[in-house]
Amino acid sequence: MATLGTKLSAAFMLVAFPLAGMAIVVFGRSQAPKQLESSFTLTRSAVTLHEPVYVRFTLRNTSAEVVQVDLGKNRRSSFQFSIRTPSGSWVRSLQVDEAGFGRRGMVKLDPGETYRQDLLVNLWYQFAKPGRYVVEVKVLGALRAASGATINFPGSERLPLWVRPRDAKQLEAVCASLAKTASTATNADKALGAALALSYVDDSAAVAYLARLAARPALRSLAIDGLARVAKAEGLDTVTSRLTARQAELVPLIKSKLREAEAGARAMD
Amino acid sequence: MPSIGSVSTPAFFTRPSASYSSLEPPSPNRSPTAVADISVNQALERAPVSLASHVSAYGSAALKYMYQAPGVVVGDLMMVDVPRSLVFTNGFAGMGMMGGDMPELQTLEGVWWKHDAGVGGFLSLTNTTSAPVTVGVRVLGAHGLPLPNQSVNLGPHAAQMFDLASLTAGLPGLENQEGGVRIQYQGMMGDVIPVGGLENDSEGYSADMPIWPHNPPDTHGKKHDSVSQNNEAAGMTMPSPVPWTLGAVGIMKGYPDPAMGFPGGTHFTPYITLRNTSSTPLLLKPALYLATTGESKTFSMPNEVLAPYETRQVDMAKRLKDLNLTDFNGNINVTYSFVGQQGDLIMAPGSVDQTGNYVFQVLAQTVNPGWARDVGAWTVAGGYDTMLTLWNPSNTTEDLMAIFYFPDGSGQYQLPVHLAARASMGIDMAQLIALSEPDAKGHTFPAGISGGSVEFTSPQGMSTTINLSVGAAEFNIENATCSSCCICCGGISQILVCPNPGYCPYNVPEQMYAEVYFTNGGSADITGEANWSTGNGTIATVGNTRGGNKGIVTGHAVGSTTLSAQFTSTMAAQFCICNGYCYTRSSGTGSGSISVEATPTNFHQVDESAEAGGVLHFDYAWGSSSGNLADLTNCTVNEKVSYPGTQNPYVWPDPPWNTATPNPTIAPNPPVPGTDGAASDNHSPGTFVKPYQAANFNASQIYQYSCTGGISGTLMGPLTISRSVSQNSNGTWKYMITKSGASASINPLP
Repeated sequence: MATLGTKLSAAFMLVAFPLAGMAIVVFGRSQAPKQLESSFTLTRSAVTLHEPVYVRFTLRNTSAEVVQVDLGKNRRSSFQFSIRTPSGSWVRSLQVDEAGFGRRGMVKLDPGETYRQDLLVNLWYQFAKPGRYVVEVKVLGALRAASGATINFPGSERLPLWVRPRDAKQLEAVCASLAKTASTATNADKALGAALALSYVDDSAAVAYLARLAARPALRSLAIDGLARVAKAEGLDTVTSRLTARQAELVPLIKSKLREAEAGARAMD
Repeated sequence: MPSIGSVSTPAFFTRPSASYSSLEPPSPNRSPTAVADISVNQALERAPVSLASHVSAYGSAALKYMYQAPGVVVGDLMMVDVPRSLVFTNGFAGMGMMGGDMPELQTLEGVWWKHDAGVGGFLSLTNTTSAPVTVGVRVLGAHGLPLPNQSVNLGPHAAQMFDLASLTAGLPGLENQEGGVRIQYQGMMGDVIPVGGLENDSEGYSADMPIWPHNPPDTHGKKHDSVSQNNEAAGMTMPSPVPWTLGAVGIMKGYPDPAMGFPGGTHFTPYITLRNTSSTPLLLKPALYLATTGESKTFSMPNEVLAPYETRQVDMAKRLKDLNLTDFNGNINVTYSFVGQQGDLIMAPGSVDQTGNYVFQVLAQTVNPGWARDVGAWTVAGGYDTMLTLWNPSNTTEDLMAIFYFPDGSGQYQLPVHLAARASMGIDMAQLIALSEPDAKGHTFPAGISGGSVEFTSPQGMSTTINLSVGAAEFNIENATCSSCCICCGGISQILVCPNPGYCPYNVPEQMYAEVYFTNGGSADITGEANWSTGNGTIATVGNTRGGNKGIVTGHAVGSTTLSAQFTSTMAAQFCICNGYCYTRSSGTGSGSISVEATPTNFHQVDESAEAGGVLHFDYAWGSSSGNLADLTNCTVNEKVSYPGTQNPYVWPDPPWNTATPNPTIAPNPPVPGTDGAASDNHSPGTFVKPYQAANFNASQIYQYSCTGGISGTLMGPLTISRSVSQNSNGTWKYMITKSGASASINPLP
């Protein structure tokens, strides 16, 4: 656990926000606030190939006042990852494309409240080979505060990650668990989070589960995206051969997604 | 039985509790109205070697199939011992059709009697569930003397067989001539299947032991046993006593028709055994009718008063003599009327020849109007023939249609039936087939037909009630076996509330529906006829005004409650359990759950701004229809942007752009949780490519929500997003985007 104030000496200032008793903590360069603690940890430091990789972001408000931080569009766009691959080379400055409609990134923390967010690292980088990686993550410096001030978040953290060779049994269990959560969770956020993670399992093991999720209207779009990713990674035939006769109706949708990817299509609104 | 479901797989449970499915993979879909014969012995011979050690002299069988509603497949299990001329028949009990939705104390009452001193019998109990069940078995003597309750522990899918002689060993003298057996357990109706039979193998006598459900048992009158106390403690309530009539149709009397082929001199004497299963005296009013094609005279017989729990073998020879019918040859129909509860009276009728070898059992059945009567299977092969006896118990003429279905589902033969008041009609299936007369549509029975099923309805189908009682028996003169066919009171097999679970938006009326499923596979919408109610009116109420708002649910608070539709047609809803006893209810109820969901509302623009780089930015916010954002946990919000044409992806005009977008763009993926209450939208300029050219295009955008249960809607839109590249008067180029009166630009383009 790193304390922001101790990591960035004289880097923050606390500004009282008079409206309705709320205070905004603004991260500046002139004064060191000691009211926020943050950390990044890998939920699992060792995974098998194609399993989802999560980094847990924790932010704790240790002050006596309400504070707000902006994590960017969809609460993701302010996070930047860099990955050191098993070969030792770095893939730097990875950010997710968050154009269009999405969640606002402002997060409010009451005094003593802790905010946790599991970041699905696969959104930024797909770990395509087994080996020892280093995941570097940071919050981009240009955060927007309600006052209009912009600040730099503290520096990055480096987290060692071991991606073991593919384990079909383990992967099957992971996919089954994610599919079950996606199908049964009564909370839409939780269900969609599980479906999103499953959709980033670029492995034929996910096909059957994704195809079943596609039968659920709320998860259909995510499932098609996931099937297209598997098709891109392992070939369309690999996907279609694992679909049932009834699921064959998904094939044109998968092909359409592949065409989008080939054309570099992305949301612009 | 018409309209058989999709997949049927008989599974045989051997002892101790190993199961074997005889048809793997599951058999092909049964055709509508098809009949299939399965030999248990042959199926067990095909069982894997690993199960050989489990095969025993007895076990159980389950018939599984898939269909929207229960009751469309009827099965008979016949056990034949040809050398000893013994036959027992039992119908498959339709699980989930006979009782309520919750486990409770289940009671079944049976009757046994000794046709002569050499008659013994058996009682088997089968646990149809995957969990152990403790079953209480109490034998009662002729005058209701109870023996101590025996507790039987049945393992999962286990069966146990009991010898009747050992069960009744404690009964003294005349108490041991006839009596009853009460079977009780905690669970669902159908969890335990009892089968009983009576036999004297020295003379080839065999008869099935009727065992009927009796829920709740005698809570009226004096509560003098543990059964009543248990029921009272369980909170069972007893409906008011109502009139009932049980009837037996086609009881053979005297010398049979020579065409039936019985050995010369065969002479039948009717028998009827009655049992009062209640704790109060039961006054029975009997009536006898001769089975004649014309209007039958009603013969009154003396009332019978059965003491509490009494079982009585009626002296039919004396009754017939008193009516001067000693020399009558033919069939008779007998009814017993009483006021009480369903199941208070058990009736075991039939006739037996002078040797005890030929036993023509008749299934007793409730005599009341119904939607249809079905005979699950008739047979005319292997030396068997089937005799059907139809009786109109009403005082008015009855026009019916008998529809004989061929066994492979390939067709049907229709026979109009006209029955005068209280008139009867006999149909010998072998003779009917031999006539080869085409029906009104020109159909005849296929050559070599071995059997089939038959349904009796009004000529208009299962839309009008009929007054009809049916007797049916298969008999084989060669091996001297006779068995009663499964008679099923066709009608409603299930009432469904749909959708289930149902979802309705908070404070927005939503139409729900009720459907009845019939045993012939048909269904009807009864939304407008049902009596609707909800379990918790503070969460949701439902409209119940005939011709108005029936089935329209309005949610008043976020949460879930039950939604019930009670079918209260003037025609009684009937539930078929195919044991000869039409399990009749004055009404039936279908239940489901309804969840009231808050939905996003008041979606509005909070802010707009033209950002650097030509990005047009909007902030939006919304609320919850319940007033509490936290109630939107099951809802999400997203956008859908449609670009010109149907091509996906949509390639923007090139030049001046080098950009493609999904068409439509549905974003974000995953969507924004409804509980956020706010979201933002950035409209990007795309990637430009030189040489610039003037171009423009529009996209159409909506914001929408989606909640659990398929509740969805549009929150805002369609909005037009216009993008253009044009040349300034000074020769430079500019990009502009507009939406909702706001705009952003890049001027000049680099």
